[in-house]
Amino acid sequence: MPDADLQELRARLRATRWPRPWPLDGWRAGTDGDELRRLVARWADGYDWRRHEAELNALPVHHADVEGTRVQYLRFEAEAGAATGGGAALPIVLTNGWPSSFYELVGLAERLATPSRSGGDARDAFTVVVPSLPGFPSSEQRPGLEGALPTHELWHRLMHEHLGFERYGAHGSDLGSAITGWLAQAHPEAVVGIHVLDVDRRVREDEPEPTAEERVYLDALDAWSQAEGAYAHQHSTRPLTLAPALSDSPAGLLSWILEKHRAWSDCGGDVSTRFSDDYLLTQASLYWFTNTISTSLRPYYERAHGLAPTLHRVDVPTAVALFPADLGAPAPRSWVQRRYRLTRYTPMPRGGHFAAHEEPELLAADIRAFFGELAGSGGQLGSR
Amino acid sequence: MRRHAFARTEQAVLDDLRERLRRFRSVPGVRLDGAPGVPEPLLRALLEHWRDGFDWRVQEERIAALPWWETERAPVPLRAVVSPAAGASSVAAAAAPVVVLLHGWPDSVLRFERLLPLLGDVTVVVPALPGFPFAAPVAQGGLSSVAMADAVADALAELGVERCVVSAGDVGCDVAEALAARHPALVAALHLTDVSQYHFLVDPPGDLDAEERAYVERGHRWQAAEGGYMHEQSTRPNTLAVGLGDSPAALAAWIVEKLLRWSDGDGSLTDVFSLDEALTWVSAYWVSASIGTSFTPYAAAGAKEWPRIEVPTVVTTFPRDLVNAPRRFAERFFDVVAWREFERGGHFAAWERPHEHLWGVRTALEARRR
Repeated sequence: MPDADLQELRARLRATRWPRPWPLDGWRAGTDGDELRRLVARWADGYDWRRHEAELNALPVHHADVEGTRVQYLRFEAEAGAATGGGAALPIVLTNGWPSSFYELVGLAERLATPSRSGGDARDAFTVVVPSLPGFPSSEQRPGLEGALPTHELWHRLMHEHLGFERYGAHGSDLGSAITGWLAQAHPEAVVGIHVLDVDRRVREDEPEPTAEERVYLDALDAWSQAEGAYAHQHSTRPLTLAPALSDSPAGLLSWILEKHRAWSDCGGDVSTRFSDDYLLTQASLYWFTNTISTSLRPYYERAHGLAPTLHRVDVPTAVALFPADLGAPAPRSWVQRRYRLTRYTPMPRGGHFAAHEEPELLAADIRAFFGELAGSGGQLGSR
Repeated sequence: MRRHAFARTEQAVLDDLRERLRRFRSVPGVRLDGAPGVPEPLLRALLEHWRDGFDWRVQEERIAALPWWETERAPVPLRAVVSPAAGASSVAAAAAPVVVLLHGWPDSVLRFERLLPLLGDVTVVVPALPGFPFAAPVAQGGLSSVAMADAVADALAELGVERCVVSAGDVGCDVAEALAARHPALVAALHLTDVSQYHFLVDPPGDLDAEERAYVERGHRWQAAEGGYMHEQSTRPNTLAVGLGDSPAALAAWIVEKLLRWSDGDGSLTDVFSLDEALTWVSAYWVSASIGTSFTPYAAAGAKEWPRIEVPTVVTTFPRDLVNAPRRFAERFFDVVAWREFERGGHFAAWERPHEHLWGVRTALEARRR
């Protein structure tokens, strides 16, 4: 990142024109002004982007040109002795959601690739691929809306053609859960199983009426959308009206994503119990320097306008791990079974929407257990 | 109330604005069809003109020349444009009726600039709603529509106004309704250009007829397609206010989208607002830094906890306004004495169609209880 960009960011942060105070304090009407001011001050003076940039550059970063889209991905090699794929390491692709980036998944990826370093067994090691979503830090946006290769197809081509993996697993959360589901639906011959943190929630006319338990779940989602979902409403209807507030103002950007990190994590109202200042400011810096916040809104718009794939049925083994502070409400087992071949259902004791960062041990253990079950049941796993 | 000396914007604020416009960091160019926001060429044209052509000082002089007044004793301070009927030396001395004009979001008293010259024969009071541009600062930053109504009532009492006709649109309609509900002796007649959407968003009536049901469904479809701004402004106003308050480009995009989509032009902003006019409206929010506090009536909105308003009410609708209610629905909440659906015009009727808006005011004046 050129020094000039860094200087420019600091100048904007120092010159932030703050909104007038409001009668409601704290987080009751959105981002808490005091907490935001503290973080903006730290972003301008104190936070060391160069140090984090060096750490990011030290990650195993690669690029692939996938049918015209330049995709950045991280590739963590499995440690020696891996046998998740039946004599070799099983490759696995991890996909993050919004407002996040590959950075959230680094700790999880390291645990999955090198379990012995966190007290695990080297035989459980995966070869881990973390691609950056198109239009997110730091992959290119796809050019057009219609006819663009959907992200799950980019992922399959990356895994299958560029990296040569015949068979692989997949994990995702949020937007990444949807991409992971579409991937399994489209390529059951290649995807051995998927592990997701949330599931397709579309109500379909051609399915039986929701059960009482499912109705409670769907009502909770609706209530959540009313109370918390305004960001998604705006993203899916008028993304470009919002975009300048986030891409022309670093404080505006931080306000937008900080609120979600607090509201969606298992932080008990204190965001610092789950995310360090440096973590939040690195995520914000990644969005800022790549100027990708506006393009990261595109999946919402696409989904709302019939431009995203539809999930009909996932026939590969599916594991769902439900973190209690994640959005809305946990899907009942029966709801998951409507659309997925559910083989593992794990209510988690703690953690939220950013589970890979909040509870990497719990999540890694569940992913290992799921793919271990698949291997144990005689499934043909792994690549040749 | 006493005369208020309109304070000119400090030069440092204007210099800072120009600097921010100069360093506008544009959004990378994804071309989306349909209506995902302000068309990029329009936003660029606006920002260039704002930076290099537009002269706030000229607009400000015109606005400063309006007869501004401010309360002296009211518990919540209020500023208003107060124009006694032609020939009268003061409001108290005027025998002519009083018309109170209540503006909405995202506008200000400027909504009525074209209407004021048409109302020279009556006394006109145009409050700058607290939390909005040109308003007197209030301790709470902004107010709910109910609290605004009380503030307006207090200001009118200070002016010596005992009866008035209230004409309103948008948030102004929520204020007007609360004014009639809470201060019935003060309001002699209402003129509304819409029925507040909160009547179907919160606690809708259970016995709607087919036409009303179709309206409510249309309203919910409108909310789903267009109401993202309202959803965010009412649930997470402070999250949004940061970016809009820090970036003039963000503020222009947020406001001009509404000017463009809610008015009755042929697809071009300049059919209804010249660049100078649109930028005057946006600048009013920028120099007063009031975008965040203007969200208060959304964040503090709720059910209308009063019975049917028995004040004679004139409703005029304009086809490009947000969601127009049928008469029967309006009659549930108001004593509708006149109803007229105009063929042109939109959300900013007093600006777009001042003569048609005037018809509503005149009709309310005729219908008023004496």
